[in-house]
Amino acid sequence: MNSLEDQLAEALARQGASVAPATVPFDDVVVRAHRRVRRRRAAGALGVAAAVLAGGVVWSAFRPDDGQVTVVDDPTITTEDSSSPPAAAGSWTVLPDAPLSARHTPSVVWTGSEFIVWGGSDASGFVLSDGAAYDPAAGTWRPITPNSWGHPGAQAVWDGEEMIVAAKAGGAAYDPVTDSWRELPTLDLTDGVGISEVVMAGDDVVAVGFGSDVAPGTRLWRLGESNWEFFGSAERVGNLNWKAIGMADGVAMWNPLDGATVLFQTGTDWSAFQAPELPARATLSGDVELVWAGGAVRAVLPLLMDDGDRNATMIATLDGTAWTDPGPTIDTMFALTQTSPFGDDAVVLGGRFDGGKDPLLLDGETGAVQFLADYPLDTTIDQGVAASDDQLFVWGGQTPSDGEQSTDSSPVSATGALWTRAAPAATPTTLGTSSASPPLTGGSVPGGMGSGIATVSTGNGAELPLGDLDPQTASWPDRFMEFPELGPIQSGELSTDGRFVVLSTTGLVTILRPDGIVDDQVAVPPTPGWTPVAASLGPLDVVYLREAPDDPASTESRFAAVPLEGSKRGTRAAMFTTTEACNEYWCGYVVMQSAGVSLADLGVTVPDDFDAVTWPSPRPLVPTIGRADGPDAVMQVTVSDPDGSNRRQWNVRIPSTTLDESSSAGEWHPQIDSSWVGIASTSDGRHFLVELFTDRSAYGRVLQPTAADVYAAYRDQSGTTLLTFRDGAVHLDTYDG
Amino acid sequence: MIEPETRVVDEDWFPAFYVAQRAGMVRLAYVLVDDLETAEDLVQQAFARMYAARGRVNDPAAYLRSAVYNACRNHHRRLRVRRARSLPLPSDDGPIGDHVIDVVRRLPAKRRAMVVLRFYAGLTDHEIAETLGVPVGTVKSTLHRTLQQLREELS
Repeated sequence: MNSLEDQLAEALARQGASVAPATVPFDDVVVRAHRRVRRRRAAGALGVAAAVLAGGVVWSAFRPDDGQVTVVDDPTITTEDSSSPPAAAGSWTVLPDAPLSARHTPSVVWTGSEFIVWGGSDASGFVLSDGAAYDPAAGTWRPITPNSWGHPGAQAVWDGEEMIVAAKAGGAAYDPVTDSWRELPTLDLTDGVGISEVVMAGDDVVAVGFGSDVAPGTRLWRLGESNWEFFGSAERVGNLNWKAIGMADGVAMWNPLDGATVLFQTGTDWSAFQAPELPARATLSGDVELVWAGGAVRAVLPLLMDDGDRNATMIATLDGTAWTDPGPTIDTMFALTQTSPFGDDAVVLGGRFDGGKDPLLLDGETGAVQFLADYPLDTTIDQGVAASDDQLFVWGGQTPSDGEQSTDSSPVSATGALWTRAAPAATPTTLGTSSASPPLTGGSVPGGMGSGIATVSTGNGAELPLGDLDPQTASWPDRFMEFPELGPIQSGELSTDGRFVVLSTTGLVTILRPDGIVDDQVAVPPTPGWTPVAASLGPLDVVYLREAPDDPASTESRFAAVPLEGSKRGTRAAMFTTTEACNEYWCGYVVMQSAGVSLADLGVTVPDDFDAVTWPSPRPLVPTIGRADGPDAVMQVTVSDPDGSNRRQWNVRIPSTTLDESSSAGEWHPQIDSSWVGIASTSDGRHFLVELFTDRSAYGRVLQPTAADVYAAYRDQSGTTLLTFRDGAVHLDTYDG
Repeated sequence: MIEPETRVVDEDWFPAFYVAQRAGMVRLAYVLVDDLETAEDLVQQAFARMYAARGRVNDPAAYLRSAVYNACRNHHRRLRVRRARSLPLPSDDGPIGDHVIDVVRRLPAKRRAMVVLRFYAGLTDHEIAETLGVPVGTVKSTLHRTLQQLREELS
């Protein structure tokens, strides 16, 4: 059977080869390109004609009392449906200091690899023209080349290659690849006409302008090769800012005068829809924001409920040609709101009348709302906001005075934060639980799902078998046993014959039977400068004891082989000085000195011909996972030269905010050529399963974002098994896939 | 394949580039959208867009790949809107009988694009990231998860 990769390559190649593309002359490209330019130029005239039609037909269908939203008698939702949303799965991270001064209303765009912050105004209202870019993968800022101008109300959008900035005073485009600006043509804004928004409508950069008494109406311009092409106007009463968002095929706008929503769909026409119905005894009490989420236009409406007794926010959905879903309502009101698309979802930020600061997440698929809990900043209004599919970026902004949703004299900020979605929570299947709860320090899990013996390390250092796991019943009997007579325990290990080898710090090696009865004991007196670190039971009933030097810089070890009474080895024993070495399959201890160490204290004899094993090809990679001092996980990667010398170690910091995605942060040694899995824990109590891949990337998956302590992990084709301690008990859980 | 490393200033290169690239791009688009007529049109759109911007194209092959992918992505978006509005779809998008291809077609659009660009077009992680406009890390992790999913579905 071919590998999956081969199957995919072959199947896709078959599919691609199954068609015979027609021969189309090059002239077709030229004709299409010219047609494209002509269509753009003609759109302005079409837009005017469409607007006239809209003004004559569609507008007349609106209620005559502009400025009021009708209260319906039979609302689809009632106030009883209002509820406080739950917290969304994810976490905030405060950003490092930016090379920028404090400001509000900066423009922010996501380029695919960086969040660019530009412009905005300082506390005195001075308009700024500098900016910086934040790389969330590296967690670093870089200043960007300042633009030569700044203008209040400048709007920015990312067009796929450049950050397009437009304002009444002019326009510019920033290319992050070359870190340079180029001038854009200036919009024809005379007679008090201004810009509300700059949005992406499909592949087009579209500026949405508002009118004045002299030149009333909404205007649309599309950024062309050398100019802004005027292509649409709606002769609408009033000249307030239209709230506008871009769509794949046009622009949606919200008229603050009467709540009418207007869509301009490229290649079709203007269309308009009445405002969404409100719940009974509710009135609109502030500005409405539009946002695109889940393939639909959403409106965020601040409401006064129950004839003014209560604040709430309603989110309505424009489904096709009408506002068909007037909910949900949330029992707090956002004011001075701003919105941002967030992948297929949307986020609502703003001052909240309940005093809370957490932004709101609207699930684009389900329409459900959740809070982005524990928002770490003071700012609630006028922040710069943008989002990738998985991360929401918030920087700068203002903190309104208590009880006032006003920006007058409010302090401005130079702080920011990043909210990262948690990976979809993996659901564990509990293989077994033990109510016994010794203080744990570590453990191991069965090598594969559904069978084997888990062990735990207790507070006094003993590693004890947790019990046999019955794969049929998934039962896992409580089998914690305590052996106070052994004294402080250094380590323990399960032998292949089911007995357990426990090493006391005094050098006492105890062999336990599975039922807990002491089977044998061997005493190895401590040697000055050396500490016993591990004991195991090998074939022929020989206890192998490893001692490490107290000098942490030394790579040497001492290795004792002590036969038990009745061992087929007889009474021979040995102690050697060794050094750790590895081949491509495993690590072991190379005998460096077959010293004639007298083990008289042990009452054993040292043979001269004890086995010694060497490996000619040391393994170059020993990756380990370490605990971090901060909120990021740290992976330690150790490599050595082929002869085993010249060990070098790297600490690869994996920002926990990106751990559920991937990271190649840090320096990776070319010798890293294996995949490996381990647990990484952060100081804030989160645990991650981290995998190293052969392409020198790290990939992490959040398995337990809860408060459970995770002690050991094992991963195979069928899933991941974790040994955890939570709710006062030890659990062995498995995660599929 | 023409992959100049510096800005192209000679406009005469475009017809030859078109001839060299068109059939391959149509096949790539077909693997992404499953309809030859649509694929032909989307690729012509991409070439037209590129022709209009040819004076500032640094890497024609990469630009064309992105343009074709974006055209296919917009096509899928339009289909999604039409499905949401219960409007008639332009072509039958039922299964085509090749089990592997049918499983790939059921992937979300971006995952499917990554699989096609890797295993059909033979692109590297960096080239896929550049084409899709996503970080390299996202390509690696998404491809890894997608292959795991495909392995399960095909086993």
